[in-house]
Amino acid sequence: MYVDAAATADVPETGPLVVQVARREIVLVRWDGQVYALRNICPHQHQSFESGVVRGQFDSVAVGEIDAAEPGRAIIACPWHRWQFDLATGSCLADASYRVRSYPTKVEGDRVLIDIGGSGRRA
Amino acid sequence: MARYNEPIVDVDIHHKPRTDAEIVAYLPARWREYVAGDGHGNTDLVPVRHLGGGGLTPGSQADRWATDGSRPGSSLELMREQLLDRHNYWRVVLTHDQGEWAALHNPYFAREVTRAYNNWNIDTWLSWDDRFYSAVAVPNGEPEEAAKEIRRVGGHPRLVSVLLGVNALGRPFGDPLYHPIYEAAVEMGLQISVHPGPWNRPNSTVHSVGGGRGLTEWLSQAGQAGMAHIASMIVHGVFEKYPDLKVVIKEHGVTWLPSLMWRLDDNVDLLRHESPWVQRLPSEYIHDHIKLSTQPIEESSDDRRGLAKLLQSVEGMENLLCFSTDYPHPTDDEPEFAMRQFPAGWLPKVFCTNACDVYGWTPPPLPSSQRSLAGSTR
Amino acid sequence: MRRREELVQTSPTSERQADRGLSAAVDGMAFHEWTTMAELAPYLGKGWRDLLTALPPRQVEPQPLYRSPLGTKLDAAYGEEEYDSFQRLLLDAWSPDRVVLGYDRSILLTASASFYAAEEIIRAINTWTAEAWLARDERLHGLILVSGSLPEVAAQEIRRFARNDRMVGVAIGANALNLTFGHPVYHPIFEAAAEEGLPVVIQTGSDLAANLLTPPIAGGQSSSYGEYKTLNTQSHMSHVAAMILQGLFEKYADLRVLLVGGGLTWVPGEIWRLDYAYRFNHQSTPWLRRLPSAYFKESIRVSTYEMERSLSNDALAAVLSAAPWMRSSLVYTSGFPNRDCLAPDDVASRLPVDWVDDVVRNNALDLFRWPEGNL
Repeated sequence: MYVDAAATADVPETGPLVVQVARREIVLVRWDGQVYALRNICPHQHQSFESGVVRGQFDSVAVGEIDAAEPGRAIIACPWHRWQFDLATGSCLADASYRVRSYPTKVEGDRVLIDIGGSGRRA
Repeated sequence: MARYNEPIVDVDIHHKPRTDAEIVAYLPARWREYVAGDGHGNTDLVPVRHLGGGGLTPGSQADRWATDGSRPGSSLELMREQLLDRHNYWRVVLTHDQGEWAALHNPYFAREVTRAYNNWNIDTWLSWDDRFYSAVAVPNGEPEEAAKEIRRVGGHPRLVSVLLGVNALGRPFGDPLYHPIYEAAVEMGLQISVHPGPWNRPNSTVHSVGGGRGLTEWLSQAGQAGMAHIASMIVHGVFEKYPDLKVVIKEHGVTWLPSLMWRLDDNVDLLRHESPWVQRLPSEYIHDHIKLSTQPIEESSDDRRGLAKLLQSVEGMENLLCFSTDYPHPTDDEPEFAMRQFPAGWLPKVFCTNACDVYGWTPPPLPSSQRSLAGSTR
Repeated sequence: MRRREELVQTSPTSERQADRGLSAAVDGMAFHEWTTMAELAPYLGKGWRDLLTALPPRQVEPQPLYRSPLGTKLDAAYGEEEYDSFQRLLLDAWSPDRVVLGYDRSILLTASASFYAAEEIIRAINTWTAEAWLARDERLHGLILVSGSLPEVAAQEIRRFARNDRMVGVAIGANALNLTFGHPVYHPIFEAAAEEGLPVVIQTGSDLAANLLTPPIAGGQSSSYGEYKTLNTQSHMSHVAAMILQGLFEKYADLRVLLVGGGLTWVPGEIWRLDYAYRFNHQSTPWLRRLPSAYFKESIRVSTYEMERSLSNDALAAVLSAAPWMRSSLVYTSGFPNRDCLAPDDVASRLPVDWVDDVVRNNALDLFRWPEGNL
């Protein structure tokens, strides 16, 4: 079920925005024209992603080499212990056994909505 | 709900001045001029780090984000808001940064910087909150000078420890060269805190076979020096000479301790052959004189109870651990995270009474709910 | 004064090999050494032979930074020909199914400043092992000693000696270039070993070569051999962290490494700590696909030589229960003829019963490149 989360204009280009949606703290991140929504609880020590760094995700096909990721793939690094989570899936890059709940989003007019019961996809 | 709600002692919080200028103001004029140099900021109070670069993770070398823009660890208000008042904090041992001033190449400057830190500390943090205790900063590259400084300020009621960071002499801390420091500490009723730091001194913090290159390796190997310092203190009879002395090995981890205790005992015949000081089993010295701070807790990657199983292989391990966060470093352990790592029955000791034992504090009384937990190995 | 013996409760001595259902052991490392240049002379090139036989036998070899004042050898191993005591005290007494021969002092040669001469001597040592030792008993197998000083030369030597199917692994010796074994400069050695199916053995003691620029243990220059012997585990810790985090096992997925010396109770905590550091600084090593612990479990094995003794079997079981996957990681290595060597029975009596066959036999069978049809 999609619920209103924030004004589109309020989601910054450069960092996360924490909002309260249906009694949950959600972190909204804009990247490459899309808005992503994750539960604002890092699965490591249960702290907030607020002020976490957001950046593109790199790939590597060989030891010692860095390749550009597909456009649109990005991560948020928890500001507390720098663990990195895929914005689209919420999966921890270093250890897939850790995952943050991610929510589908869509933009209607000038509002961002999130599917509070869904998972994984983003607007 | 937290597993432990009773008074907490945190033995490793890194407090800082808001800017270096606060410390510079405590330097004598001649050294203020030295720091000013050519006026373009080419002199640091902080020595060179030998990591060879900090890695590629954004913010990996930045401390806890300070939402008011202040240098992390420098804001009393933030420390209270983010940590001390969020949990039931009873006492804290403020450990400056990492004792890095001992790695300053210039010994005359190192002496003055440590004096300045001590004077600043007494004037500021130690007067701001009844919960704050701290350590004497010393230039351990000149043990006699360090001893003088311990005697100068060590009588302050809030100074409970002497902070040994990088070993500026390139010898592990049991070496007789350092004994003037222990003599002075015991005289002043202070204990010892040992803390790692990637500061540049020849053969001092470099790890075995040149390991610890780069931040990730260094983080994973930071425990190595602590192991060596413990062995060295035993070999050189620090605890025979100074039987009242206790040492808290901070931020080196905990899971290597069982192995170290057993290997020292394995080699006791050899150690006794080489040193006249090893009168008891090495592990007995450890039980009586050494504690480890818990951060960074090596949470098991396999089974949730793995760490507890490993630690419980040593009888009495629950007496050897003192809780620490390492606030505001980006590798810190939040109290509730740390609480989940140990058997419930260990928590009153790990979170309070073991530290009280080190510093000679009378612990606050536990309520009956926690008294019944004490001794449980769940 | 308490004695160490009071701490240790071993299983009753009546639990002998047969009682525990123990199959014949595979000994992953017993040490053998040459004594005089005359032993190596037949295998040296003529020019080198003329030069080296005119020098004291160990001239090219770096000294160890620390030496044990109590010696390192069994008393019983003195006073007779080395092979005779080997035959009597190991082969006859312990009846292993097979033994892998490693090197003792010769690993220091791998750090020699006269690296061309050392290369020649090492080549001769490998041939001497094959001809003077392996020929004596079919249970004996050898390791190809190489020096990291000249990685490309070492790789050629691996490929050459690998044609002898009684050479079942590689002994890499010291970090001759003053870099941990994770550094890409050593890749030719690991590449050749992996291609030949040969595990690479990393031994404590190699770090003692006094001319190395790196210290054998952390924390500064310690004062006693006893401290070194206690802390020698640290060279394994450093090498393991570097090899995993610098992508050695991602690049060479078939590579296997055996750590000899340094005990085994350090392993679980060290592996968890590697995972912790990796999760924090993951972006620095984006070419790793798995947790460091996963690479360790798959690619690294740990010898029982210098296994900790001052703990009860229950305490050891508690440590091993924290990392049950170590059942596949541990490899029995006697460490003969060192004073702290252990017979297969001695190791078996310390372990959980259901671990015994894997540790004392099966893991070694799985690890080394045994001759065809000899499994």
